[in-house]
Amino acid sequence: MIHNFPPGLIMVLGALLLPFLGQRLSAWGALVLSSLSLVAFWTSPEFHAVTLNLFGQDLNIVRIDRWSWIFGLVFHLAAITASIYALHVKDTKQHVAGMIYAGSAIAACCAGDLITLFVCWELTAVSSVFLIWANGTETAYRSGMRYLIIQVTSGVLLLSGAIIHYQQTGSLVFENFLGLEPGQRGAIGDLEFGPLLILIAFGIKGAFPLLHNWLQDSYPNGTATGTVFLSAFTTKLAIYSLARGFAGLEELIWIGCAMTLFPIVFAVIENDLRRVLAYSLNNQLGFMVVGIGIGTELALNGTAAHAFCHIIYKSLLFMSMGAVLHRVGTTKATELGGLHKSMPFTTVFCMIGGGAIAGFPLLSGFVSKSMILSAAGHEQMFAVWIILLIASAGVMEHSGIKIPFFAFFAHDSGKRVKEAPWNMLTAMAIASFCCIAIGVYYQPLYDMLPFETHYEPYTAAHVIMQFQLLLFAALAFVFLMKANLYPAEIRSTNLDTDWVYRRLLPRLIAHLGKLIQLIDSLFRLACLAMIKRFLNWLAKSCGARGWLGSTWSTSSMAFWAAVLLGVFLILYYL
Amino acid sequence: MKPKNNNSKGGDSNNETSWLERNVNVVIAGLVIACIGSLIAQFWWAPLFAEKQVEASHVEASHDEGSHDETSHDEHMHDEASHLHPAEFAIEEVFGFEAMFGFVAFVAVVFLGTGLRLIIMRDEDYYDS
Repeated sequence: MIHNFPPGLIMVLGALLLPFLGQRLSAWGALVLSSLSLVAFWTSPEFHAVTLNLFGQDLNIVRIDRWSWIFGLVFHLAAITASIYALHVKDTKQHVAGMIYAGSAIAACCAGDLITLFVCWELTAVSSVFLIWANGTETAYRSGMRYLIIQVTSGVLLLSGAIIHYQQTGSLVFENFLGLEPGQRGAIGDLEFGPLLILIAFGIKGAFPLLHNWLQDSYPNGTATGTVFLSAFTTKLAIYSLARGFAGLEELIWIGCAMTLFPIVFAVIENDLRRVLAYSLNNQLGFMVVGIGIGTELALNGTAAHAFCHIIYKSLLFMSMGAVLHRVGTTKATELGGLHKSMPFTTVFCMIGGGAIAGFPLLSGFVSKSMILSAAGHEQMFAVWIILLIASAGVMEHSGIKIPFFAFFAHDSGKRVKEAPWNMLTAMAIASFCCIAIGVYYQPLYDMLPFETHYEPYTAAHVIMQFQLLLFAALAFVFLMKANLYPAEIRSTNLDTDWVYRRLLPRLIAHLGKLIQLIDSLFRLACLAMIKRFLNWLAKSCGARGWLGSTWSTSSMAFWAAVLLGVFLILYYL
Repeated sequence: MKPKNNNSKGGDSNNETSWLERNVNVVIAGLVIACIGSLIAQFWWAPLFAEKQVEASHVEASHDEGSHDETSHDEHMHDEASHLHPAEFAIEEVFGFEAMFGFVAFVAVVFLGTGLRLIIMRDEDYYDS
């Protein structure tokens, strides 16, 4: 019975009951809900679909296949760990928002048609913004507002695209819009207008270059626990949707390459470590987008595997920084350092997360990222392969080294705080265990991938090369620090594309207002001058001495009357 | 995972220093040894790889002569062998390529970042003012 409802519905509806549990119990309620949902998902018949007829339209509200399965599973795992991580939070609103958000993301990745997808898409946007607003500061409020506007815009584009697509094809089924099979590739020019709008909608949520900045703007403004939720769902839902709808779209390869590159440079100079993680997240999405663009079975498997591993280690990293924020009150690198003395467990967990994202062998990132690099290699895409290698070194820089180093080591800030609460440590321990378990025993993950694979990540060559890349990157860090060439952390704001809508547009609009004001006042002046001249003329001509106002002689009047009568006579004869 | 500690001067005088802070050089030495180890490993692996290639070509050869029953098995073996193929590009075979690449890419990214600061860095309260 339960399997006829969208997975995640337990969480969405259950969340509405959480307020009745009170402040203390609602956190546990959230954990119970996400666990129940996982049980329901796990026991659901393996691959099935449910159709609902609504307003004469068949909606495929549940479609669970291999793609939905792997994303739905990891979304559940993320929701459970994030719930454990948030057990100490006594703010019911956050738990409600978190559950609705996670539940709708799970329902979205099990949606078979575009309308169901749209509904869940918007629900994730509207529910997640409360995790940012819960911070309670003016900055968070404004940032949340921008986030909401951008996310809802993405949803509106998705709906418009879906409607146009329906008008053109008569179908709302969510499948590859280019009709491509794995291994085939198409170009953006082959897309109709509807799917193009949908691509932009996915691109906004997936943080494509130039559309990306909502991510770095909002995630660092979320609460310590809220950002852990945020990091897991929104962008990976976009990755899932791209893989489902646009696998093999060639342009995605280059969009993905750009995504892997530019964030690593921004991450080097960013002071807020949670914003560094947001840039790092953006860079990781790039790897997945490249995989979707390549579109072979190996590449798509790589994308799915990387999304799976990424959600876990990225949550872990955000959890470790959340723990720092919870204890110290800030995640600015300039104010941290030396925390390994007071938060030893968090330090170890953060380093495991950093190692996993950098792709050290025996950790999860290695077994998934290798697939995407190998896929680029198999297709003989040399430039792509080189870019991904540079990006790998960049990941080592900002997530493998910068995050743990500046938070827990570096110059001792003298701050002595308590270790993170037990529930945070438990959640981080679970995520760390997953990172190691997947890295060592990767076969269960590979068995879940969308396509069957015999891929072998641990070849001698692969392992040695990866070690060379990462160890020498680390050596470069030591070299730069010793030579005092590594840029010091500075309290600063670094501009990004959000400058366009936070500074440029408001200024342009202000200037435009001034211009309109100027034209308006000039126009008024000109009109006033004309009226004044007219009045002057009237005064002149109708005044006591004006020619219209003065008394005229009787003879001239008789003369003009005669002329008029004469003219009338001539006209009459004509 | 080792080079996480560096340059720490031991904090304030009234703060205790940790083992890591007192032994930064040990950590760095460990890293250097690991780096050298990864280079040596490539030496060790190169002949190993050659053997695998011989094996793979042997499998291919036997596949030509083999009966139909063995075909699928051989193909599987061939698949395995192609997955063991370490290098998709010739440049990967160059000794220490990835090592050099990792070092140079890291330094380049950091310098690019430093340069980017000139353009995009503003006061911390830039958007608040």
